[in-house]
Amino acid sequence: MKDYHGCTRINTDKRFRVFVYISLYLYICGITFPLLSSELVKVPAGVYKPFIKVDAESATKPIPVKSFYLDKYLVTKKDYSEFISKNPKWKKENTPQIFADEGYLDDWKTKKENFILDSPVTYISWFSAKGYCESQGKRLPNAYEWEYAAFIPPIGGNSKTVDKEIMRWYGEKKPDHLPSIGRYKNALGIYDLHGLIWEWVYDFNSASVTGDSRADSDLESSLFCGAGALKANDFSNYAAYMRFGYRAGLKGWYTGKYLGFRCAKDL
Amino acid sequence: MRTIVFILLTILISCKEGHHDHKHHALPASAAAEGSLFDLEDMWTTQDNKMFHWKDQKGEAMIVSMFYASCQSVCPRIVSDMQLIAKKIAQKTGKPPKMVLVSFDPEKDSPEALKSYAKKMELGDNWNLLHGKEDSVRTISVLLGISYQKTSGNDFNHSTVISLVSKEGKIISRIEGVGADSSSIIEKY
Repeated sequence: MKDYHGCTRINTDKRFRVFVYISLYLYICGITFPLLSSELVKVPAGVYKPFIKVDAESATKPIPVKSFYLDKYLVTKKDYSEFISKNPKWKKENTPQIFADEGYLDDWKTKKENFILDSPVTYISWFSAKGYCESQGKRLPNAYEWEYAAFIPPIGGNSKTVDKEIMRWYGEKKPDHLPSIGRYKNALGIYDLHGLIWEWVYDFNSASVTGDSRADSDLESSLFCGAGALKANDFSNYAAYMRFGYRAGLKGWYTGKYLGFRCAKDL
Repeated sequence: MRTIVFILLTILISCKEGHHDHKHHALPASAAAEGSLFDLEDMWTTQDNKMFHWKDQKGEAMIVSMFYASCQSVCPRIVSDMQLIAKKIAQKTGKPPKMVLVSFDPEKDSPEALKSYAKKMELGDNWNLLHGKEDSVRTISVLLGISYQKTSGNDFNHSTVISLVSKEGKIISRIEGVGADSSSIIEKY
């Protein structure tokens, strides 16, 4: 309809205005936090060649990896805050100690200016990480899925590029307060698989480094065979070995300053 | 004007940080797990096709381990170790204890398969052989501190641990390895 100036009047119906306000509100919330930290990246199917044997028969037999989705970014403190407000059973005071030790969310008492919202959430146990992923209809990645994705170098790079980033991380002084996510990117566009923190995987307790060799059928020998296969300059295997050893020492309720996670999802 | 104010308020609200929990106990980050197995909500099925919830086991201690039925080498030894423990506890208390064996292999170890296994190994009514979802199996293995991995040949590499779980669901003793000294379990039962 036209008003007395000849201009077309916009629809001033109340419901329409409410609709506009809500749409604007949602849009603004979206642009205030542009990092879509729960965005998934499709990892194509392939093979992962483990550095140790899984069983006595296979000698570093390649493991076929089905295509899966992996979180583009590590789960951040902001993500985890939202999760806790919707799932109060995972608040520190409500979480049974069998699911997370005393260190759970230990750095959340830190000063506000040091609590970087888009830094990775750490001081998280396996159970709480799993709980978070499940709340999103996702899961934790398996060790071989994670290793497979982590092996992929940045665009234009190769395995030496990956090694360089890991070496930089090993050599740096660990920060008091973790920085924002989104630093190291691989060719699939997945960030920070190296260079920031250690990550939980679903089957971290697949093998123990110091298990009883009488009980573990050939596990120790396969571990030592793998270690023995490391050549002097085979750094990527050394890094994989370090991660393997790190995971084998974890318990599900452990939390740590440089231990966080990301989620995966089946196709 | 009102719209602009509304938008500004929205930006302010969106930028506000989440509320932090300031209650904290100053203890090291990697203390051993305490707490009850009964906090687990998973559902299991026994060899008799009965439902088994951890929290229903309250009030009676149990001896717990993990195995899989097609395991030729280690698992029969785990079972015989557990049978010996059960016998010693029965001598001590006059009553055979509750025994729980969780299968690593939900695919092959259906309740029926578990029933034939129990028959074959001559396990009495105090034994509960459990079938559950893969995710439940992984979770309980983490809590019990038992490592396992499925191999390409459909076998399982796994560690051997027998645990004593109290009537409140707490893991109060555990022994590792086949033929390990079970006196700590007998004493603490």
